[in-house]
Amino acid sequence: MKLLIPYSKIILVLAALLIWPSSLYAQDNIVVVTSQNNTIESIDKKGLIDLYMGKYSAFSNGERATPIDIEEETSLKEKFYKSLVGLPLARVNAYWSRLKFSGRATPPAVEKTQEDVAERLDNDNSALAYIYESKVTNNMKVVYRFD
Amino acid sequence: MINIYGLGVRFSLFLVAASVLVVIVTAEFFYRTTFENEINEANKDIKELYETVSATASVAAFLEDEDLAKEAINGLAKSNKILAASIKSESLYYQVNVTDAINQSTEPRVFVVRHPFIPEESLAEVNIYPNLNYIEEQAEQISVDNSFSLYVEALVVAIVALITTYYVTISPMLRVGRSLHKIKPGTSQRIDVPRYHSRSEIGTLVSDTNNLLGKVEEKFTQERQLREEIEFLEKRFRMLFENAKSSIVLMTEHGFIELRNKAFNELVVKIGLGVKQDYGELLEELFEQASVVKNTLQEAFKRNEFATGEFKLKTGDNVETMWVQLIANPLLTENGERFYQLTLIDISSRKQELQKLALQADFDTLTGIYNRNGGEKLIAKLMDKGHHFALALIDLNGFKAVNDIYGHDAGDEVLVFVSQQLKETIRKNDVAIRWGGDEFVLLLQADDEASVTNVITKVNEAVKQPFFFGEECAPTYVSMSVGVAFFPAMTSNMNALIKLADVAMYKAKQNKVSAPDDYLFFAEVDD
Repeated sequence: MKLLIPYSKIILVLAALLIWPSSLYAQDNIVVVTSQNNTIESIDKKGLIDLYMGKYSAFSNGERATPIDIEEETSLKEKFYKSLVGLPLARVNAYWSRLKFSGRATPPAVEKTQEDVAERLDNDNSALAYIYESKVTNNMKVVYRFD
Repeated sequence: MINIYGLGVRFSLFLVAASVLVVIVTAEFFYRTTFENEINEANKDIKELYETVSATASVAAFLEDEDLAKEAINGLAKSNKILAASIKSESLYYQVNVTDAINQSTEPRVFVVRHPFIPEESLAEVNIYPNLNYIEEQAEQISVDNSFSLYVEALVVAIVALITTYYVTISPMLRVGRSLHKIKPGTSQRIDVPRYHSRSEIGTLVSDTNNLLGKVEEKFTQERQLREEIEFLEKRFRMLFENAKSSIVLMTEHGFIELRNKAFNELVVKIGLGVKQDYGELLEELFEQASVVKNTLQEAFKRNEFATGEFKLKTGDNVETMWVQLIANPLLTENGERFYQLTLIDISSRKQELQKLALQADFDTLTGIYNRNGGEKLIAKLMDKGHHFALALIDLNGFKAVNDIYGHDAGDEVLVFVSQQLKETIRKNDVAIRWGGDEFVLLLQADDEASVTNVITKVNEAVKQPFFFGEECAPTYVSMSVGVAFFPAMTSNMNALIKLADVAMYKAKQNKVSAPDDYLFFAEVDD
């Protein structure tokens, strides 16, 4: 049966693999994680929006929450915000630059890479971050999963 | 200058009235539409205004941020079209001017504020109270402006229409009217077709008018020709009438002379009547036998016939006798009026001529005394009337010799001389007649021989006188033999009477040499 597959189709698949090698990662799910020490077990999407978009700075149980953005892995950040609020990064940035002056809301804290996030989670129990599911370590607790 | 009943004024009035009417209707309609339109527009504007602040309001509601909420609501309230605005959520309330709006019982427009990131979730409500006064004011202003521009437009259209009409229609018509006014009918003058109007209604009107003028001219020319012909004829008739040698009058039934010519006036002046209005009912004053003339004419007129006759005019003592031929013609006009045409032709000379002719018939042209014809008539007349008279037949002796020696002219002279002597010596009632050749007859008023002898003796004395011809020195003598017969004593028949006298004269003739003094013989009647 495999012999019947036309060459052109195979060539197309191979070409796709060569051109987007990271597309394999793209199929990687983004998850939201906290420190294993955090008492929160899970967060709903609305709660996540409230935290990341600056409405609340505490979890539902009253513990302080520090949402973290990943600075250098733009595609991850972009995917996250697209999934969370359905907005491109430019809009999200515009939202924050508008709110910065009123001072009431604070944008998420910033880490450079997923590795930095993993490191931060080891020490900071209030931290809340988004990473690819493949990068989840034992120190991390997944509280929300994008399907 | 401006004719208030003129087309221009009329047209302007109609145009102005029509445009005012149209503008009033349309302006009213447009005012309503514009007004409603503007109100709708304002409502749409309010929605758009909300759209501009909806993002801010949404974030404010999400973050429960009062500053942002204020910003959004104040932003709305800044617009003239919005009287008041408020935002209301579970944890947030902010309003501007809402109390005023509620006092004015303005209905708010309600907009739902959505969650900025979860659009299906509503977070708050924004109430916007439209500034109806302002909106209506604006709408009103715009509508009024629209109406005003409509009025201005109508005015401009009216003026343009007026000017166009003036130049296209009224002005050429005025020009045509003016030139028509100046035209004298019957002349060759015509109206010029206004420029660019050769095919317009005005052009048609002008050419039709020109055709009419042409026809009028034709008629005028015909009339003029006719009048000239009539005048010519009249002149000729007048000439004919005025210069006629016959006197002509036209008069009414009652003798009033309507028309008379020169000859008539000359005639009446000549006979001493002078120029008058009438001369009796039928000119009878002119005639010697007035009643005869009048009767003759009346008789003829009664039968509606013309009358003619020769009549003697009544002339003064110093004017010679005048005769006219009168031709009288009754005329009836179309209106039934009666006129008489009387023509008087002077026939005096002809009459004289005729008289002379009559005279020649009865008298001897050479001697002027009765000739045989006249004598016979006279004798017959005397016999008819029964006059008593003596007929003396005279025969000259020696006459033939004179004729032979001196010629006929000399003989004629002798005859004239003898006649002269006869006329002069006989009595007033006696008559001398040249009986023919050298024979004469005397008709003497006498019954007896003595009276006859008396007269004849005197006659004989006269005839016997010596007679000289022209330059001749020797005298010539003629003598006569006479035979006498009496009427009615001897016969009552003329021929018999003459025969008797002739026989007696013949007896005397026998004695002319032997007894020249016994020259007179009386006829003897056989018993």
